[in-house]
Amino acid sequence: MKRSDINTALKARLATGGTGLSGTWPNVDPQGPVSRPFFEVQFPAQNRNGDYLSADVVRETGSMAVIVVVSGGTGEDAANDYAEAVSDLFPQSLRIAFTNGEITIEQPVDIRGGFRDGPDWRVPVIIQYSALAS
Amino acid sequence: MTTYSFATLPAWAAKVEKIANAVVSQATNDMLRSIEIVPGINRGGSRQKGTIPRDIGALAASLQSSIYGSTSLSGPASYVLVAGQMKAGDVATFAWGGTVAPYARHVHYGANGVPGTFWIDVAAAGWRGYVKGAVRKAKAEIQ
Repeated sequence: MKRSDINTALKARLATGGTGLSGTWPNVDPQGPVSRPFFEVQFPAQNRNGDYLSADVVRETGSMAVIVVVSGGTGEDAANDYAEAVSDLFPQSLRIAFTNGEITIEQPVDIRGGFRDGPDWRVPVIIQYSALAS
Repeated sequence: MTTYSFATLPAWAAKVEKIANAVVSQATNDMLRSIEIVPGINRGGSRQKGTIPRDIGALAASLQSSIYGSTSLSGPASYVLVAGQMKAGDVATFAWGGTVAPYARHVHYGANGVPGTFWIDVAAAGWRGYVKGAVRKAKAEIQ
């Protein structure tokens, strides 16, 4: 079970989901200026644990944060709609296959309160997942 | 090891309740204790996932801890008293920011090109582990 496979599968679902947003990805320099609206992806927490002595049962639990960014001063509805579009891509109980494993979305996506950041309005969307090798 | 019979069921139930309370209290305390306060960017530090960066101290000190929204305690160690009072089923709230540190969300989620440290999400991601640890501790004490 490789973390790069897990991250790639989650990012692919977001990138190809038709949210109408372009995105910035962890440790990838944007090609030219990024125009709003867009999203930023981060992976805040990724933990591995094995409940059994048998080392072949390893589970990774973690979260992918998608920060929706729209222009400040334009109200919050558009950002919330984009956040909902992201959330809709990861419904609870969704299973996403990756190389040699499967990701499960274990709980509803959490859309957090938005906040102003200079010229931007940012709405965090937190997607929690669990991944298990097949 | 203590052996319980039907006649001692109330005593057994009381003991189970105490254990459940102890697990909730211990796991909550351990989870919040795991959040490190580290030097912020202005003090030569960097943004580390799962930590609260401290430059002037307002963010770290802004923690408000309460159970069911009751009179909240404030300060970076306020969680200790609230976690210690928790019982199984209680809803406790631990919040940073407010008027003392209105930039809390910017630091947590990232802003202005600086990545977030997501200390709440990192701590919450470890919740299963903190509960397991607390259960093991409780088991060891009752055997």
